Amino acid sequence: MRCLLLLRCCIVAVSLTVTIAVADQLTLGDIEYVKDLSYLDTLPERKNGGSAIFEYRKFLQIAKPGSTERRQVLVRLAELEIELAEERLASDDITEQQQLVIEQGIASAVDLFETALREYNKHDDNHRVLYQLARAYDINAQPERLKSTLINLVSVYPGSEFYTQSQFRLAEGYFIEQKYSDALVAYTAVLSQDSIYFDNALYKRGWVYFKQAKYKLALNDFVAVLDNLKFGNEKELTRIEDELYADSLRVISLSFSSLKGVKSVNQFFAKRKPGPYIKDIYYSLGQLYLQQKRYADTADSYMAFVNIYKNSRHSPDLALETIDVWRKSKFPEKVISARQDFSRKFSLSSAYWLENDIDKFEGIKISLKYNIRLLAEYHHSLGQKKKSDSEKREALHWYAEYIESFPLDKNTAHMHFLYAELLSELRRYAQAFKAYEAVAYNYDKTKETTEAAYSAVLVATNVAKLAKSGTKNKLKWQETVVKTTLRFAEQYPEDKRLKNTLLHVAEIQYEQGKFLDAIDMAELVLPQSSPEQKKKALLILAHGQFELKLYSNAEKSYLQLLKIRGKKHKDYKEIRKRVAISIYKEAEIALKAGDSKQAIQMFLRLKKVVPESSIVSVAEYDAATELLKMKEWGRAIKVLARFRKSYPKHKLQNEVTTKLAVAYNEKKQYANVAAEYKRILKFTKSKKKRRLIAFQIAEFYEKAGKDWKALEGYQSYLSKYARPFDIAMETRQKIIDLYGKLNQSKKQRQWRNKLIVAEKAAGKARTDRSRYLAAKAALKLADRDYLHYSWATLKAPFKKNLKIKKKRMKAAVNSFANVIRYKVAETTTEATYKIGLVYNEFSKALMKSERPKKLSAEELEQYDILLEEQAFPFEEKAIEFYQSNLKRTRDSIYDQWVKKSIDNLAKLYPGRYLRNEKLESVIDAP
Amino acid sequence: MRLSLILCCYLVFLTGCAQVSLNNVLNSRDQQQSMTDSDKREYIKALEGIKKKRLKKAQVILNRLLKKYPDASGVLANKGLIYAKKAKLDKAETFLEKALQINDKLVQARNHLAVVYRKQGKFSEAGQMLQAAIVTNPYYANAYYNLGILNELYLDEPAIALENYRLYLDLKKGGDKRVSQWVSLLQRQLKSRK
Repeated sequence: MRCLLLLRCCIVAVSLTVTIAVADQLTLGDIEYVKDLSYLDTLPERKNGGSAIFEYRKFLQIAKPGSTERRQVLVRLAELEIELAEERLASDDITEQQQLVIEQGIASAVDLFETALREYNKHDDNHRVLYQLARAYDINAQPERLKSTLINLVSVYPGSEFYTQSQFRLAEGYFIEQKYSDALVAYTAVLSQDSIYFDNALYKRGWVYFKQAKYKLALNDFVAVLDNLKFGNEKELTRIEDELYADSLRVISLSFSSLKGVKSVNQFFAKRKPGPYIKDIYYSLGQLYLQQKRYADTADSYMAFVNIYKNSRHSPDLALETIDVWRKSKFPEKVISARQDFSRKFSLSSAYWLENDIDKFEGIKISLKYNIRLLAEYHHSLGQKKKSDSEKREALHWYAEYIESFPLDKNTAHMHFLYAELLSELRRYAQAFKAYEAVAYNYDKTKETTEAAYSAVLVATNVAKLAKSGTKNKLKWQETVVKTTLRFAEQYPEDKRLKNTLLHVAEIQYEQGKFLDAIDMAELVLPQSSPEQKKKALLILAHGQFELKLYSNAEKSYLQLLKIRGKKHKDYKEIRKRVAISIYKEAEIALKAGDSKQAIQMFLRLKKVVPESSIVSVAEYDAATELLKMKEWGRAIKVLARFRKSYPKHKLQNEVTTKLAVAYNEKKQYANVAAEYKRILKFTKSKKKRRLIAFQIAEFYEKAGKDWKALEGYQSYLSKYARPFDIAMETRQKIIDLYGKLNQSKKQRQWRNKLIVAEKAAGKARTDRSRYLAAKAALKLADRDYLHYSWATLKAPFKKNLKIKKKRMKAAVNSFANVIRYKVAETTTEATYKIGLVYNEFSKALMKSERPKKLSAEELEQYDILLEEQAFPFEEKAIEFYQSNLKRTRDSIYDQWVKKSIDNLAKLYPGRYLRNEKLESVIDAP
Repeated sequence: MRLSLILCCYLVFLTGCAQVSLNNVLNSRDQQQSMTDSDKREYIKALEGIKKKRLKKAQVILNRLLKKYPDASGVLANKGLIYAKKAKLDKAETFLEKALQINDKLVQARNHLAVVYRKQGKFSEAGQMLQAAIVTNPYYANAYYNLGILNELYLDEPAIALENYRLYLDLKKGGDKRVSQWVSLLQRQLKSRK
């Protein structure tokens, strides 16, 4: 019984808390009669009501029926009974006795109220009594009486101040009894007025509708409840409001759930402006679904909010919740999708943050960072696993998002590195390169930044390699390789891979023709490099030097390289060739600089250093050429002779022969010259040249004193070349001279005759020179006739010998006369003189001739006279020819034959021609 | 009287022919240093040597003197003379011409140089040189003589030679039988030509 009472009190307390408090206030403030009997309430025992009740009861016994005071006491006494009962009920550990007292007190109060109503049924203030009566019924757990009392009150006193409260209490009762229609009416009556019960009524009516499955109506009320809470945010709510709020949300969720879920929410709020609770509505609905393990609906609920209320400060949270839902529900793909959704919608670059201040969303920022990173790594991993480019591209997106959103984050460098790696995997090398460089040089140094720097070099290198040769793109990438490697070197000088990269740069620089740079780079690598690096560096260095025409340096570098590489290297021969070319070029440069000595030394050195080189022969040849220019004939001959022997089939052999001929000539080794000319003749095709060479061969033999060979040469020449006439004539003359030199007079005569015949036959081709040569030849032949003539002596038998001598005289004179016919001054004077001489001598010979023996003195005298007569005409003839020569002085011809002629004239005709100038023995002057 | 008249006419003729040479003679200055007595003695010794055909010794002396007196025209002329005697005509020509550049009045040098020219076959130059000698000294008989030979023998100018010989004979006070015969011969020769 006691428990039942307590339960009822509790229910009343819960449902009427507000009502009671308000009733207490009214009771104490507004009752008029209290003023009259107020002293009763001031009694010392008032606190427990005992003394006051006793006094009021005493007064009631004496009170006049129907009087105002009686009614006043009845009501007040009843109120005190109730107060007392309530006080007793409030204490703990109520004994059965006490319980009984309480019940008696309430029953007393009910009696008193009912008495008052009965006795004063027309009193204006009965609505208050009814109210108090209802209260007593309520405490006394008499619901039917309570309900009827309240119905009475609201029916009779619709304008009562207790009307709303009463309707509310009625509604609550109906609600408990599940008489929802009645409750709906009562609640609606409460809601018709503005009162402190409004919100509760609204809330409860919502419930009524809900119970009646009128969800849309219920939603209207519940949302109205929320609207009426008028909170800025949840924290401002009191505990009760908070509970109301939570409860409302729960029912709202249930309602929407019962309708079409989140669609209904959307539709509902499409027509109605939502309050700040809107997020909670979606969230609650989501939560509801979540309890029901309806994960998709949960997610839909959350994301519906996110999608509709894009800029709401709650959107990120709900998006995150969505992720959580899927995560907990173990739908990994959905998790990823949710993460993507979240990360896309709230990326730092999204429009969302134009409306919201990111600094106030530190948690979101962290989540965003976390999710972007997860997404990036997830897609990266998936992309690699599935070898899917689309996944990788997705990963790229998230890496980029991370890098852009969190540039200062401690993980960004790593993310950036992965981004670069992925770009590289996707063969997006230009972007990969940029990313690697960004990692390498935009973050604090770590092992990873070092890798990035190196990767940048590798990527650029690969791209440069793949680029089509000769294109601008290739050049651009090669430049990039150089730049990034230099950065790598500057930033990470200790990296072990640096030297290799620098070497590669050097290779590019070399390829681009930046030889000076390539050399610098190679020299940078060389110190403390590994053997392999050293080989590469030396190769670039040498090639660079070679290209820059620093041949001396190139040679040294090549030789150094060869030493390290050894003979088995595949390029051994090629490099040896380069060494040879370097030396050769050194020589050429020395030549250009005018340093022939140095050039020769270089040319000759080539054979010593690279004897197998194909250009050794050319170098040797060039050395010889320079030696010839320097007139070092002996050395030149040595080199040329060596060349001939070493390269018998060399195409320059002919040139060598020519040069040897020159050198021998300068050394006056004419026989050798002639021998070389014979060789020259073999390869000379030009007829004109062949003819000249043939002639020169003979000439050089002649010069060398090899007369027989010279003769052979000249005769050979003539046998082939009768023309040109003048050369042929000279050749004949040479043959004549050589036979003379060899005392081959017979041959000499033969050739003189040949010369004369040839000259005569030449006709119009004859020249002064040919005439001169013929005249000279004729003169020599005439001299022989003269000699024959001289040898003939006029001795016995005189007649016979005279005949012989005459004959020979005629022959000699004719011969000399033939000479004169050539009209060559030089031979003419001589021939003229000699004719004179022939005649003169004949005259003398006659006079000196052997006289016949046995002549008497007289006969002898007669004989002498006769002889003189015979001799005189010859003397006259002699004088005539001498005079003929003398007359040539008028033409300034005054050679030895003229002088001899004058001398002979002086002897033959002194009176006329003996003239000696007068000269002083000394010139008398100081 | 006849000689003077002929000489004057001949000189007028020669002056016209040798105007340049005359100017040279007029403009030339004797740049010789005066020799010391001992050098003069040496010089005389050298001339004696030449006369005695001790040409080598004479040449040594002359060379020594020339070192000391490079412009001594007599020394130069005699050195040329020695070369002429040695038949070294080119050198003879050089020294004689040099001597005449210094002293153009050395008619003997001109005479020698003319003979050198003749031996070289330079007949025209020889004639001019002799004429120049005559201009310098119209009484220098050898020049007429030699000019006569040149014209008669080498230039085939018998008429001029005849005149040369006649002038020579005019200057030759004692006469010259041989030259007189040449004159007769030339006269006949010229007659026969006509």
